[in-house]
Amino acid sequence: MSALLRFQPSWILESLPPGQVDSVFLPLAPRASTLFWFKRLGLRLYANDPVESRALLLRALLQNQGETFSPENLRKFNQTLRKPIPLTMNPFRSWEGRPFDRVQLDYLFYWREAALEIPESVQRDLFWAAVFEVMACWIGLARTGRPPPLAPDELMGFMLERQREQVFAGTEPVYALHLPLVELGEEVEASVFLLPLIIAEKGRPEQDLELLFHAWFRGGGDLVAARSEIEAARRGWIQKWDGPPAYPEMLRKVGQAKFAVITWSGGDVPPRLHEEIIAEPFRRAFATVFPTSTLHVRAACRETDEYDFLLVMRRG
Amino acid sequence: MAGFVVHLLLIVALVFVTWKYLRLREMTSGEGLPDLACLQGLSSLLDTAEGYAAPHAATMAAEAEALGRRLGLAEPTLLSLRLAALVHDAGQINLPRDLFKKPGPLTAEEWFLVRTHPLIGELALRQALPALSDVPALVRWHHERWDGTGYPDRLLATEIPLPARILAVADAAAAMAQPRPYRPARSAREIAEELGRQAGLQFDPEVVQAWVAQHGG
Repeated sequence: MSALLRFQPSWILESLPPGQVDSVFLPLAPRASTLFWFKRLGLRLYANDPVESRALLLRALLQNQGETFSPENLRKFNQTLRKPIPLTMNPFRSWEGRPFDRVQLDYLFYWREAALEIPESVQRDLFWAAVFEVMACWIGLARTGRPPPLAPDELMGFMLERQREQVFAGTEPVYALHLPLVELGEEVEASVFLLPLIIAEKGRPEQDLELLFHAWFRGGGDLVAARSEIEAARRGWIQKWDGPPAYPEMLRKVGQAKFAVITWSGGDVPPRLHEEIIAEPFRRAFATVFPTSTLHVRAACRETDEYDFLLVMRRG
Repeated sequence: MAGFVVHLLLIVALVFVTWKYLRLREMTSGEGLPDLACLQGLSSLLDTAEGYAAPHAATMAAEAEALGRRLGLAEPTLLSLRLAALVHDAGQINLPRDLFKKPGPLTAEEWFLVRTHPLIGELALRQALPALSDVPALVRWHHERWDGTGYPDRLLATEIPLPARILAVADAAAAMAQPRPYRPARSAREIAEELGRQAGLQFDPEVVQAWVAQHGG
């Protein structure tokens, strides 16, 4: 699901001619915070995600022009639970021990209910985003059995407080979009069409942050259903080893972009195979509009044979 | 004037370090160890500029190697880890010294500059190294945080390659073990407590666990 992707914005900009990039269109955006670099540099951004639970993170952390979670809302919606909530009431009960403990499940239930009570949309998005970060922390710790550094409400408060260091006002507009890929407007005009390519991969669902967060956001513990929803939203845009993505569909979204950039990461497979199976077909499919291209490859970890790839194609 | 001389010395040192590293890569065996020792000596120049009383980079390299061994990394990766530790902050020499010694909080612009130092370090190494060496990548990502709020790329959890996660813990532990003008050196127990507080936030919990086990916890 959430396959490995090391999105490196400075590397992408280094690979493009200086002075020719003022805006970037991402039909399938990476995690919101990885785009801060572009925002800080004053690029106009159009970041779309067809998956609602991910699009809200783009709104909360990227499109947000500096609003943080208010102290009033913090007091009101991040309370300490004094009594356990009956497990039968909890829609996430099947996650007990995989990977969350009972107390964490109580808070996940309470926070979801609390989030729905927050009237202001940006405040609500910030609250959802903080839960994402709390879940990330808990999942990481569950791998080792270490106890969390803070009680759940304290950790939540910490994450909300930390958003003050993350969200900031940019000098150019940032648009967080939540549109199905088929409906994504070809009218979005940007100098770069940038696709962080997701390679199909099915890991252990209880360790998959994206999957767990999406299921939680939807209000049910069924990870199979959550996975199906995410896959359906991305249909045709995922790279598989046994089949290419829908290149013509992608090409229809490039608008008048001067550059089309595809970036991905991979391990266990030699870089040559990435070039043959991923880069070359992309080059051929995009050649009518973008006849010249360069593939950049960098080693990330020799222990696991991980490499990062950047295919930069220029309009003819 | 003194500042200019320090800058000049550091730039000469970085060029020399990079050249030495290139030679070391060609050897890739135990024969390279004298060069590694040389690199270690040169890295202490950077440490002096950072205000460390004892060689920080060399301590960090030893910490990182021990952690890497405990976590089962293979020899070639351990070599990359040692080398990356020795030159991890090389990018700082291109930035104003005052930035790293400013007593008060940094402005947003100053923070942006600080966040570029792993990129500058990486760039210098990439210009000198074969394209598929992993050492520049480790230098790039040694300030990434497990929770995705690090820099420069805000990688999250296992997106950060394990050797870079090891470097982050080794860097913090080695820094805490040294006295600084504003605090005394911390004991192994205090370091373990602090790393434990940051496990799952700043650091990979597995690497923290390895550090604690390594130091008799």
